[in-house]
Amino acid sequence: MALLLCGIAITAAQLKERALLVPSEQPADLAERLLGESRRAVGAHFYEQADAYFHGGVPHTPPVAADTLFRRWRERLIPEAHAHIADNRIAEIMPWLRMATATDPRNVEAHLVAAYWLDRAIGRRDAAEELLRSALRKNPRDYRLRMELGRLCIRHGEWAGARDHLKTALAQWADQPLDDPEQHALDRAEILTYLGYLEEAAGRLVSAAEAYETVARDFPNREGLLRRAQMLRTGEQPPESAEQILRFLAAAENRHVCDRESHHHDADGDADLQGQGRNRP
Amino acid sequence: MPIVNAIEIRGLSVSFAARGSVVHAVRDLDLDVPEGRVFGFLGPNGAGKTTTMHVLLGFLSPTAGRASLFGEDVRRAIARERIGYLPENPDTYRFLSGRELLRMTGRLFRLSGRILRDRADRLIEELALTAAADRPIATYSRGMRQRVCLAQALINDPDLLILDEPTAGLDPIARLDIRRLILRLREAGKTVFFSSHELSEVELVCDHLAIMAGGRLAAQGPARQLVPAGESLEKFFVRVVSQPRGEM
Amino acid sequence: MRIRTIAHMVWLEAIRRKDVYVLLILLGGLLLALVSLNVFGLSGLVRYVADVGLLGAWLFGWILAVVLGARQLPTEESRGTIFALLAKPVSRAELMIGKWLGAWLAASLALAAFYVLTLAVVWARGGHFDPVTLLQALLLHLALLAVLTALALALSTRWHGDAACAGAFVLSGAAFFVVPQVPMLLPDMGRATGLLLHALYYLMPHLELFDLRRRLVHDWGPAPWDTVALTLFYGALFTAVLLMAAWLAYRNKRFPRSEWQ
Repeated sequence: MALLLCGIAITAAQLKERALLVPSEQPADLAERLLGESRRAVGAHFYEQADAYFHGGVPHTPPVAADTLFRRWRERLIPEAHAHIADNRIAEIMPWLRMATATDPRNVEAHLVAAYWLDRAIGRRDAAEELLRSALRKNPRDYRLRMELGRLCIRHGEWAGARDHLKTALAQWADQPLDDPEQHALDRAEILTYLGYLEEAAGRLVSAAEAYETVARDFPNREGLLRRAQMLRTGEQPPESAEQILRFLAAAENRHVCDRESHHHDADGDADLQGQGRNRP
Repeated sequence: MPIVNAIEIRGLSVSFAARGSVVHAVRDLDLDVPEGRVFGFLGPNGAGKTTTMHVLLGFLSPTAGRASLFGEDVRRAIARERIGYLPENPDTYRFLSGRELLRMTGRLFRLSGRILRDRADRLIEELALTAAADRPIATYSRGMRQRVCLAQALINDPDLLILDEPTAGLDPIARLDIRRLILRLREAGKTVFFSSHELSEVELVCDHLAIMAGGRLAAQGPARQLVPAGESLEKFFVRVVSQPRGEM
Repeated sequence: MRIRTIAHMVWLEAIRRKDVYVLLILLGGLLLALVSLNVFGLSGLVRYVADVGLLGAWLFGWILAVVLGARQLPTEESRGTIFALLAKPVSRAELMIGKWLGAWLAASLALAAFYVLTLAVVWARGGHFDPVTLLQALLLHLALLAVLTALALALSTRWHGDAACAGAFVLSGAAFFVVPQVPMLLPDMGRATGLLLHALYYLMPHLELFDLRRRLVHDWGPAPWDTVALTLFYGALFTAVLLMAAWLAYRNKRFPRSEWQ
């Protein structure tokens, strides 16, 4: 029924949008009015559906305690194995992400994931950016949206734009702690690292060195960054230029890091819907 | 060859546990209904008439005793092959048309083909339902519903027709139709066993009577012999059902 | 012939009460809403339509099977038509099987219509289903409807129609969602509770076995036929057990109008 309501709400909103040329966040407003607070649960469900689609329809399930006759029987009928859909099928997860973002505009993670795949797999940078900006209007203080916009710019070689977004993200970062403090710290490190390369590419070497040193202070195992900062401070030329690294980062595929204990991992599994942005750098 | 009664009841008792006490709806009832008679089964409310009928129709199991229809134990489905039944305040499947209802009912008696079609058409005509035969029963008036239920009870051309208060709530014309039908069935040699509070109706059509009171048989016999000369059935009925047990 | 006739009446009532059409229109509306969804301007997306269409078919099939199964006997009793029906040479076993068969066939027909509607929309959008997996999914779904109608009918032999409906929804919902999770609860349970849960796990129907939607929607290919056949047998067995229980509960049932008169 929630699906039906949401479907009707979105369709109605789209019709209204077309007729009145109202801003694109209007569907969320309507969903908000229709579903109230329950939209969060509905949106979360759609987001989980997107994740399940990415894994061939297999949702996250907690590990099973006992191996029973019915469990074995069920496994023969209902696929449980871990698999990722092929790149050419990534678009199939988009309807669920569309519904998740429309139903709950405060679900920033759904926006980030949707924007990532829109840009990376589907080649719709325009849609990705529009989605992120739309999310930004609802969540103006969420640093993750600026961070993703920054990444988007890096992927398309727009380093000045990337720098602006990442600087704003860094400024917002302290005001918005996450439930996961480790991820929060990693996000800051990522912003600073990117900013470091961008500053370096722009010739602001001291500023770049400061960024690398801050990361190295928080993550002492990142000795490479510390060495790079020292090289910049002593005027030494690093083996790879910042431009090269940024180009490499823009082109690099994120390797899949799946946190599912229940999955049998295939050797070729290489991308995770939820992992993007959360398991990096 | 022994004479088989249409209805034979021996030592029938029916008791229910209700609200912590036992209700004896019927006690030690013996009753014979010979074939070809119109048998009036009378009694005030709560006398046990409907309970007895429901035992005959297999809806209820007796606590003691036995009952048979044409020699077949009423607990067997086959006992109901030769009977028709019209319940009190009958209702039926309103989503069906009258004709569909009759055909469906006929199939429950394993009737089919031309025989079923002809019989349904004849009953529709006899009971003045021709114009409404293909309309949903939901659109019928109360009288029409009563008639279509009666037609349903007759679809198997039953040898015994059991009617529970067949004229209750009907207008005078509909009552007349029922009375005519009962007389026609008697002429055709069928047995009719019916309960009624309408004693004037009973007087006009019944040749045998049985009167129940407090779950027991208070009186039975041929109508002309049972009711003393010069006494109306109504007076006789009131006298019988008000007498303490053992005085009859 | 009597069973067939009773089933035919149930069927006619189901068709004429329009419940099926309402659900069909609802499913159509849902599919229409889905296909008109603007997914970031992307086109050719169909898997989610198939998924939600089949979910609708599941949900509506479930509702129909339970409602049709649960209302048969109580409606006959409240209308008083049970008396005219049982006054015919119809045994209560025949009545029970006829009612179940009619309710199951009507629910199955509706289910087939839901599938056809979903398939039509999916095909119109350029999608497809593997025919063998589709056949397996449909067969198992029909077996599930058989269990659900028998469960609702069995409950209605002793309960009022609405109570039987609610009871069947709760029980089947628990069988679908809760029973498969029971093994995960066992380690935290005491010995007595654990034994009880264990017994419940094996005695309750495992309705999740009848759901091949994931396999069908996500192109996992057909399931092994021996397992499908075993599941169909499991469904038939459960249906037979429930019908037997229904008959035992109904064979000597007294109806309110037969007392106190």
